Amino acid sequence: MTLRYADKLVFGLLFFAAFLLLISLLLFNHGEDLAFFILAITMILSAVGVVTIKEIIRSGFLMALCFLCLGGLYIVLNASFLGAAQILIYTGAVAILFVFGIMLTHKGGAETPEHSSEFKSLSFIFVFVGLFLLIVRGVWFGTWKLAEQAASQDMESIVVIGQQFFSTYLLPFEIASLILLMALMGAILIARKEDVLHE
Amino acid sequence: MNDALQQPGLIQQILDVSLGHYLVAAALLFCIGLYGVTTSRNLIKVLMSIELILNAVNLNFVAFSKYVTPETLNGQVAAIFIMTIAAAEAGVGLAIALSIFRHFKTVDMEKIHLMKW
Repeated sequence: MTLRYADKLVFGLLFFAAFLLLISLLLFNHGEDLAFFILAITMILSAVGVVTIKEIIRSGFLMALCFLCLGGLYIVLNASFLGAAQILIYTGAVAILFVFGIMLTHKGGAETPEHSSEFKSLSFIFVFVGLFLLIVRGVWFGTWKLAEQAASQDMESIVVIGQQFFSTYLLPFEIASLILLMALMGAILIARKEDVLHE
Repeated sequence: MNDALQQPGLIQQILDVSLGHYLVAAALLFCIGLYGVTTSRNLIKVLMSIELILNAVNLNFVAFSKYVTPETLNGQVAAIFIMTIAAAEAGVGLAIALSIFRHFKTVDMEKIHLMKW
């Protein structure tokens, strides 16, 4: 058995585990701490894979796994509608769109050379030692003005979201639909072949 | 630091999931995405890292929506708007990447220097 099959197996198992996790989260609304740690660790590890793995098609699928875990985190956070939307839009559409993009650009530029390791370590120091520690210092030791009581478990978030959309956020909602239309037309116009326009 | 000593031990504090946990996880995801944007030379990988950054922001919004405004869910509404914009951005970004690839026959960011002087 070559290495290629081995890591297909690993990826399959990863996806299977993530699905089992999501289903068990939906069925049993207990153990939120455990669910948070499993989902967050899987999410972070797959995100690290996205930026470090050289073969870009694998990082595309790892990105799907990362988004799946993020959907699980939304469900843990009582945002079930957003969790479903995350899985549908990101895992189902955006990640697959990226996979298409990779395949259409000649193996996604697999032979693209990388930056020098000095530049990488410099960037690592700036981002993780600088920015990340600063953010952690702020969010972990800062005091947040938390709500008095947590939301009731059986509150239907989708009802509240719908009411918000059609009262407070009506104008942004309409503009968002316009932006989607513009993006659709713009993407078609940009990606089509240029000589088609001149015929 | 006296407050930290009076609270239950550090390990207990880490094990009890609170708002800070979600914010730290989101910060880590954001930093990974930022690292990917700065170090990658592949156009598509840069777009992927941008998606990671947008998702980190979304996680922040949803966590705040649970812990700060649980009744009005402003954070979740903002997260839905971000999701819409991110989907549009991914579509247009990939279209531009395809167009650039067709023109330059490469997705290496260093070789795309049409506007560089």
